[in-house]
Amino acid sequence: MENALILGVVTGITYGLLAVGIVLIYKTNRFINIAHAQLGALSALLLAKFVIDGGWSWWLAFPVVLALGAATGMVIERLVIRPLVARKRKGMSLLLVSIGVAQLLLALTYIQSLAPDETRLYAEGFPTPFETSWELGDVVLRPHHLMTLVLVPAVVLALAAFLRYSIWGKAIRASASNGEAARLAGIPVGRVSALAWGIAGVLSAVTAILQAPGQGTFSGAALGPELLLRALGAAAVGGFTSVPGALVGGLLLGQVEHLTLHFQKNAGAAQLMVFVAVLVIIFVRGRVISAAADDTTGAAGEDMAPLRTKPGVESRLLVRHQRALLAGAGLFVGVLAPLLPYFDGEGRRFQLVVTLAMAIAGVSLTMLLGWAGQVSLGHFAVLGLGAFTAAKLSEHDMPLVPMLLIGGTVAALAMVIVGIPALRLRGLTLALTTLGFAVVAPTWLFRQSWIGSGGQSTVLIDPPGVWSIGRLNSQLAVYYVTLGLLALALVCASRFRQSNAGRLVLAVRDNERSVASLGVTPATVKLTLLAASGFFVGAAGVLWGTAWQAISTDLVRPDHSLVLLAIPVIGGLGSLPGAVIGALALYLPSFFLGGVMESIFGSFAKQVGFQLALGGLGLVLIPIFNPRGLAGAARDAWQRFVDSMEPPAHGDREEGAADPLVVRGITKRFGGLVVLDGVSMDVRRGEIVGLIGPNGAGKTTLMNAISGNLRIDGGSVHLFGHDVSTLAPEFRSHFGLGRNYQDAKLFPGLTTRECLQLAASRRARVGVFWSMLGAPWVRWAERRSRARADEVLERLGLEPWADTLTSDLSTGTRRICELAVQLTAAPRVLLLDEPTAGVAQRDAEAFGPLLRRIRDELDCSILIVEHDMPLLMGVCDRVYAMELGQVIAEGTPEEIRSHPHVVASYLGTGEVAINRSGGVLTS
Amino acid sequence: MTSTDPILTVEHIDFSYGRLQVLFDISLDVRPGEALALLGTNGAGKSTLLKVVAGLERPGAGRVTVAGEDTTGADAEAMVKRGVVLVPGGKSVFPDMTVEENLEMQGFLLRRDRRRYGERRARVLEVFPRLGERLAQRAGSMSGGEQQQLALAKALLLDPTVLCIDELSLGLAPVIVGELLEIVEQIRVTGVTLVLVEQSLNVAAAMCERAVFLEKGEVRFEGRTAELLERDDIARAVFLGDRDSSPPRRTKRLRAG
Repeated sequence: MENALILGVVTGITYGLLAVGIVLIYKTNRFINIAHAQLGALSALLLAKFVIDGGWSWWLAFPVVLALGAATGMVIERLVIRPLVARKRKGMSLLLVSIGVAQLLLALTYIQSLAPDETRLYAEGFPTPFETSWELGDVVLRPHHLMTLVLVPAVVLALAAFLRYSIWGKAIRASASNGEAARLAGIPVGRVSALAWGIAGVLSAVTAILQAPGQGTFSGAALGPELLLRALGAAAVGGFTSVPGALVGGLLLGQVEHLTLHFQKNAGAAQLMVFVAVLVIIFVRGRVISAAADDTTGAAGEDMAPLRTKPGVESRLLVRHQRALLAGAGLFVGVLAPLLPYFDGEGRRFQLVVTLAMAIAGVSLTMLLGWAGQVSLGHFAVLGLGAFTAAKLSEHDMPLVPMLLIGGTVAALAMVIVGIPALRLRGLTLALTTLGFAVVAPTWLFRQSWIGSGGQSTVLIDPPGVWSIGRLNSQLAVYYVTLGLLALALVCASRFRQSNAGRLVLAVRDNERSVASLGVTPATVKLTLLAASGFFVGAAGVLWGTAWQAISTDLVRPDHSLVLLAIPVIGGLGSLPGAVIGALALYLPSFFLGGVMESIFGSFAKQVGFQLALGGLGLVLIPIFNPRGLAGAARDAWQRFVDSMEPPAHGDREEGAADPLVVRGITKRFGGLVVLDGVSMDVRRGEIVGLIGPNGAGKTTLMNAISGNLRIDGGSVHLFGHDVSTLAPEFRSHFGLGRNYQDAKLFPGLTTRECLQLAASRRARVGVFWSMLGAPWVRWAERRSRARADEVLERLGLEPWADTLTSDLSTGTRRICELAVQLTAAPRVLLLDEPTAGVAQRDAEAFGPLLRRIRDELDCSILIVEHDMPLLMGVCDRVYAMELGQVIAEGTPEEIRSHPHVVASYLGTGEVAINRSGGVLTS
Repeated sequence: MTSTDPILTVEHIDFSYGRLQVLFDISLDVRPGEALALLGTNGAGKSTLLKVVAGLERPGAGRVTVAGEDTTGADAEAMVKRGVVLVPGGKSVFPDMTVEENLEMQGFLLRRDRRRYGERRARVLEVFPRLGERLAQRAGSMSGGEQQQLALAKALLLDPTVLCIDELSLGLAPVIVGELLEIVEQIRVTGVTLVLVEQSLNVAAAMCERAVFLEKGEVRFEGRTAELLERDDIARAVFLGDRDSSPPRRTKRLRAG
């Protein structure tokens, strides 16, 4: 017991130290650095090499490799992080890049010439500065334990003192606290960031050197996902920003691990308990973590716009049937490939099956990462779950089709369960829970007798039967089934993306709040997507396992899941063909170049080292140089080709007696500050009502209160006589309320028409399953929403931009498009908050007539906040003027313009300033 | 008022956030010792213009010169070294650090010259005695007015030649605005050139001889503030959109002094 407690402390402070490094980088660059543990891997390896091969003293080698760790951090900051930060990448995008960095650093440790002599390392153990062991009762503290107990507190105290007292340490804190103010103070924020990375490199090197002796030998992989899970879990305790929190978290997880080991004597159970502890941390510390989660929300890459075609060109065979032609060509190559001379052996065909299975996993990841902006660090484990389920089912001689269905369903369930804790907190949390699953699956889950091997080293999968045709007992047969599954996955995924459900997924990613206002629960969308993604990768796992015929937990190690992430990034995030291209690009080269690589990485690790290097390079280089990946590059080439082609030579409504919008006595306080103080106003049928007031008058707050985005402290909101004061925004839309948001809220990954279709089918069910199967009623709904979208497009004159990505629209057009989105849902009261914000003058002038047409043709009353006074005064029937949370005047534009109180509120901040003006002017 | 060459000129500046263009062909100049007000409604581009001048953002086109030297595209650090200092609107302190640390960080460039830093710190605390009493307090825990005092103190510490202040009065009670204005006036009489972004015409008029109106990223009007106050039709047109008395889209420049 004491033994476990002391070992728990020793291990725990090591985790804490790692977590401190993650916190440091998070504070500096606002992303979770997955590569942190690997920053010092090379340092640890070289320490062993210098001491064992070179005969150096440990005391000489130690500072040298610490300097190397610092240099590693600084080089990465300069070459990778700074260029990306300069391109305003953040959150998830940087997290993916850091996975690539981790893989590259890990690949370095596989290079044989950098590693110490393996037999001597094994015989002598990883070098330590002394051989003394301490005995405390029945606890033996070995040299690296003693080092840990001395070094870690020393390093942490030194770091704390540095951050607290030195000018550069304070500069790191200042840059983290307010980056813009730091720049304005003349602090060189670039050098400060490099410094933070250098320190992180040293911290990581110290951790690796302290960890290595405990493992007997040294392996960079030991610094992988298992350690990462603990470090991230520990950092999460302090919301990724608190150093003491990270240390406490580390100690906690260390205790959990060693106490479980003490009582259970089972490493798998310890992993499970650590995972459970991390889940508990996520639940308990949710509020602290959510700030960090916000930073990692949003698109991980760039979305691709549909192809632009000139009029006349779209009728060309090559353009009209481009998708069918591409699919046909792909299928043709796929069917032929295993028959080619080079691939006709069972071994090569086996590798082809694996490549296809990875392509399916890539499609599944594309749905998550490319569309939903959610990262899964455990997709290989989910694939493994499919395979182990298949092994269980094959004991009962289950035929192929039900095996695929059950394997897929089990994997889908696992994805949903792992995803539930992440629903509330978005992006980052799913990464944590899936990472936990990746760690727990091979170490615990797949060793349980009810699903996995139950203590056996391998489990067998007998070739399943396909009805009465035969059994999948050749790799060629497995290959064709896998090809079929890939084709099915592509068709389903592509249908899904083009359905309303698919648009919702992107919409939730880009802006959860706006989706809620469309009457859809974001959580449902996320869960269905997780299930769909899990289903395909699980089914792929069944076939992957069938190809292996015997599987072991070693085949689904957690670092494989990280390699897998390179597929959608290399292929082009969000692109389905890209997922296939990415898998081919990642796995095919090892067929042909494996021999060459053997000389660098050694025979033992040739596959792993090479794939790590390749995947890592892809993850790092693609976001820097071509964020849209290989598919994006291909798309651009195709677009150029299409551009070079020459065209051939030639609504009813019910009547309501009540006023559309009645606001009575709304009060809202933020702490002690009263921002709305008994505001009442009416919008009558067919009116355009303006709302003006200086900054801070409470206009946007009032809009938020009316739309339900803000809970009010008193008063009421009635829509057509219905009291909606307590309803959530998505329910108010059912009473005919629509609103825009001041901070430009179109979904940048969708085209104008898609945005409108999304809004048009807001009452439609999410229907992932049926939309994948292309059920007729899905198509009917699709046709209806498209007709509605086209109607609004036409009414607002937006047809020329129907197939443009909304992120490519000019500001003026985007504002009109936002308006169109609101109109598609057929609102009867429209709240417009600065619809012309950022629009050039000539474009803004078009807004007046547009608003009047909306009112007249669509029978829609409008409440509008706008700073463009000429526009507002020109279009409004009545205007309310606000100041300091109160309505100070109401009347026609002319009345308001000459109202003395209104004029005063615009011309000065108060009497003090006015009184001062005379004095200074005469001076 | 001096009639020497401008200390700061901005010529034909365009600026966009991504695809959103917010400044269109902005030109203006500021003479040494002058106080210039940048007026305009929300989203007119005033703050962005100051950010471009202070080196926080790079303009898409155009030129910025300080004392005759081209500084277009120089970063904030270089501009601070040239004496162009910006007090950004709203969040200009390091909220997680103490007042003392805030000042020390502002003096980062003086880190090898402790004596000069000590002198400037003493001078700043003389102007802001209240900050001297709160050196150990976390800046984020101070009131809005005190934070603005700290922001001004920090700017003053850098001994600016051109001091740009973005919305000093935003969200503050009139009494506090009055106190802050008095300090700005003190700074001004020492010969520091001022560029003030303001929403309030009266505050601007109290401080500045000359004003530039921006609307939707374009210069709409340039002239003496005294003249503006007399003609409330212009003010009304700009702030309340009275088309009848709307100012001409591009006035010929009226130079002050």
